[in-house]
Amino acid sequence: MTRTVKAEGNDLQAVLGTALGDLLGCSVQEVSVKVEAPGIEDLVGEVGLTLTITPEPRPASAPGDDVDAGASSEAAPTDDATGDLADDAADDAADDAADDEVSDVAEVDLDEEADAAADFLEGLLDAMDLPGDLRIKIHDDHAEIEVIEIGNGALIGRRGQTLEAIQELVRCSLQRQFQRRARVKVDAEGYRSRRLEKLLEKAEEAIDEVLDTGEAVRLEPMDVFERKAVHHLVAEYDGVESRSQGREPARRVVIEPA
Amino acid sequence: MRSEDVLEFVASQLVDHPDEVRIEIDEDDRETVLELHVHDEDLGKVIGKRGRTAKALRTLVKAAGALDDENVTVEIVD
Repeated sequence: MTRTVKAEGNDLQAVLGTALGDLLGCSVQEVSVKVEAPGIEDLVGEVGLTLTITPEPRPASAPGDDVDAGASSEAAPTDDATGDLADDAADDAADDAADDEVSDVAEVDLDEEADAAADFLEGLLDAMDLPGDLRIKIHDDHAEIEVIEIGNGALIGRRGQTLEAIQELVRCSLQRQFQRRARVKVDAEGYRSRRLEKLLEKAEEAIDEVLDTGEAVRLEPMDVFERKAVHHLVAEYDGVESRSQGREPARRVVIEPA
Repeated sequence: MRSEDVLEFVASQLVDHPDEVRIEIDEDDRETVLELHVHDEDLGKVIGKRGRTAKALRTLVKAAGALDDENVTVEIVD
């Protein structure tokens, strides 16, 4: 079977994401993509790519270890072991599908990830010489650790940037320890849950706007957990659909008329 | 110094060779520069894809420095 799609842009990964989305709207989480062409990112002009796609069973040991993209993909020149290229390149195509299937993570995996993240946060509080208690919640598909009783916003920072940095560093640390994408969300003094509430309110306004005007609305950049919550919200409405666009940390949800 | 403690702790959580995490401090009256040295193989781990990890490290260490009214920057030395 040969099909041809055309996509334009100045970012190989984004272009591939778009092209693959067009080609494989359905079963992206069942394929992995590998581009082996060093230097291809430096090319200017039109590039013809022949992609051979072979179905591949998902590894049973790591059921759905991407939070909002079930697919794994690699772009050879920039690839490394952290695996979030998968997020970047495949999300555009995979978001909707991946959000429908809330993948179950083995509880023991979440427990050990949460424990490791708690150790990290304890050590961090210690190094920063801050008080604080940890509250750990294990959900179906992720764990949540909230630092409470710190007494100030030291872990949150302006517009949440310190908290975002901590989240990223916890993610890297767990990735190194467990060699898989960890699903631990870090919060401080309820900052993220308050933000999520506001984001969902804005998303509802955006849904109304899309339904009124028939035009797509782009929301502000959000992290993977927030995007997922917005996709779920949009899925409850008729006449609109959503997808993710752009690259972390500036990845956004776009709400469109269905 | 909390900024140094934080950098040392977090860096050691990110690398495969925590024993080789070393920090040198270069201080003048305007700012404190923390030079982070890690094992060659760990350089990519503290920098991260498109510098994401390094950026997060800098943000967090700056926040820790601010607790002591210090203006801290992190340099990753290879």
